[in-house]
Amino acid sequence: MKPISVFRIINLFIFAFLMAPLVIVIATSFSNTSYLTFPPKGFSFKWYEYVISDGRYLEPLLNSLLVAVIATIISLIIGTMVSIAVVRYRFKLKGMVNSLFLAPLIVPSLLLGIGLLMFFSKLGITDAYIRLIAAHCVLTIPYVVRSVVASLGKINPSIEEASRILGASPLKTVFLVTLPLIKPALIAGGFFAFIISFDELVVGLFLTSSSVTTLPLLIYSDIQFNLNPSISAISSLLIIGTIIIGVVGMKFIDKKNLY
Amino acid sequence: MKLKLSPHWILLIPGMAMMLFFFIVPLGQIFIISFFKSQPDGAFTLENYSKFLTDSHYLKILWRTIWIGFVTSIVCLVLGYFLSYGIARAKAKYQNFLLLLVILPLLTSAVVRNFGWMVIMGKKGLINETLLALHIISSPIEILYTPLGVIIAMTHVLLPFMVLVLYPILSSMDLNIEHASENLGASPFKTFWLVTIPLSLPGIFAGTLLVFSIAISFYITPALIGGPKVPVMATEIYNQTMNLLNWSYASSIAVILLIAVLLIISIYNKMLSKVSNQGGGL
Repeated sequence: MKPISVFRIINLFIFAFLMAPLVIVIATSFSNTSYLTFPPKGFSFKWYEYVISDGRYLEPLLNSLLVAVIATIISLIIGTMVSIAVVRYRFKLKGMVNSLFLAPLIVPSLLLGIGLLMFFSKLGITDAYIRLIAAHCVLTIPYVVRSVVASLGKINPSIEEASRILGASPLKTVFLVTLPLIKPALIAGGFFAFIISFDELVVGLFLTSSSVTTLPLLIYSDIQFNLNPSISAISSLLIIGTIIIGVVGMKFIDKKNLY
Repeated sequence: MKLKLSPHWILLIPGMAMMLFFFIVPLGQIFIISFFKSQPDGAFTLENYSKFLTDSHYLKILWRTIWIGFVTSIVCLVLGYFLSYGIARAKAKYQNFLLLLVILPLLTSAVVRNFGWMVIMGKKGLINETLLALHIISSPIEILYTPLGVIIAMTHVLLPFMVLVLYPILSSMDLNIEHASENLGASPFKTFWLVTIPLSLPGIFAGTLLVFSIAISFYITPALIGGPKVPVMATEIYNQTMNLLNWSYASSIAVILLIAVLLIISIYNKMLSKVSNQGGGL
């Protein structure tokens, strides 16, 4: 056999390895049995019916969506302001400011979870929504900053200067010139921010109460204490949702510079 | 005298306030509390650190964290190199699609992916049922709740990160260098070994360091696939914080972990700046 074809076969196996858990989850979601087994026995949609009709997934889903949407909006606004400051102005400590906003990518989220738990307990802030939104903003802002900074750097500042010379105020210039030009970066940053927030588990483990939970947290606790095919069904819905959002979102994303 | 704030600081105020309250202060608090006894009237002490670094129970956890992270990064490197090389040398029109296939698992929830691995590795899972049906084994083997299981699942979670580091380096490599080597009579294997690999060495180090730094601080996979039988630093930090409520001790383990991660990432950034000037670092 030619080395090229051996190489292709190895790569095929690695792609299969990458897809395996996702395919398995979807396969077991059509199971007819009340326990998880592979190969799944029978074929039915009963676990999907259960997941959709049973109310227990609805509230955590809405919580996850609410937190993710608010965190994404805040991150986009604050992140864009930070990016404009970093790219368009010269000031001392600029390098440090830039690193600070990228630092949450490096610091393990576990540490942010403990730190915020101690911080909020000391201040007496018990509202799970406030705790989660604050934490998720910190976790998602690096994605916005990274993508918007890269995009702003490529735009010729003369275009903005032209707008100012023609009489537009700085604020008007930002809204009518800068923001439209960096729209793809805003979409990409917002896309990552939303996904990161929506899927976030670790920080949530520390910050949520028993009354307010998110979808990843509910799935996580079900896996540990209540293992049955309904987890496969809700997970499959999440996988399919992610693939749809992913395929659409990827159009705007520069894949070569993700990391 | 009128105090005039320059425009860039006005732009930075909301962001800086957010980072100060929800990032710097909480992390600083972990650092401070790690030097005090856990009682409310706690006095300054280095006990938390000496306990972790001398007690054999905790040293075992430290050692397990390191070797699981090490094996995971090496496996990720080998698999990631195959994938990245394959994608970088594929026809241009397929490259984006293949990259999408690699990135898609990264976008799906880590909980969901680990759940998939639990179904694959369980007593009645895919691996055991297949091996039993083929009569290779007579009773189910243990993969779930073992370090092997953690390594397999964590490799799956972290492999895309490796590809995201290696692919840009391999795809921007000048193909003429490889062609020159082949024209001069080297076999494809020899060219790969003597030309391609050495040229991508900084990327190899950078990718391995990145994966290692994420692996030693990763929580979800050790918690679900490893369970209580395979405690690592991340699960121990959680256990000390939430179950034993020993925040001081948890903080000291967290600080040790953070210092390790920061050291590794600073080397990673140095390695990466060698191969690209576009600042792809974290």
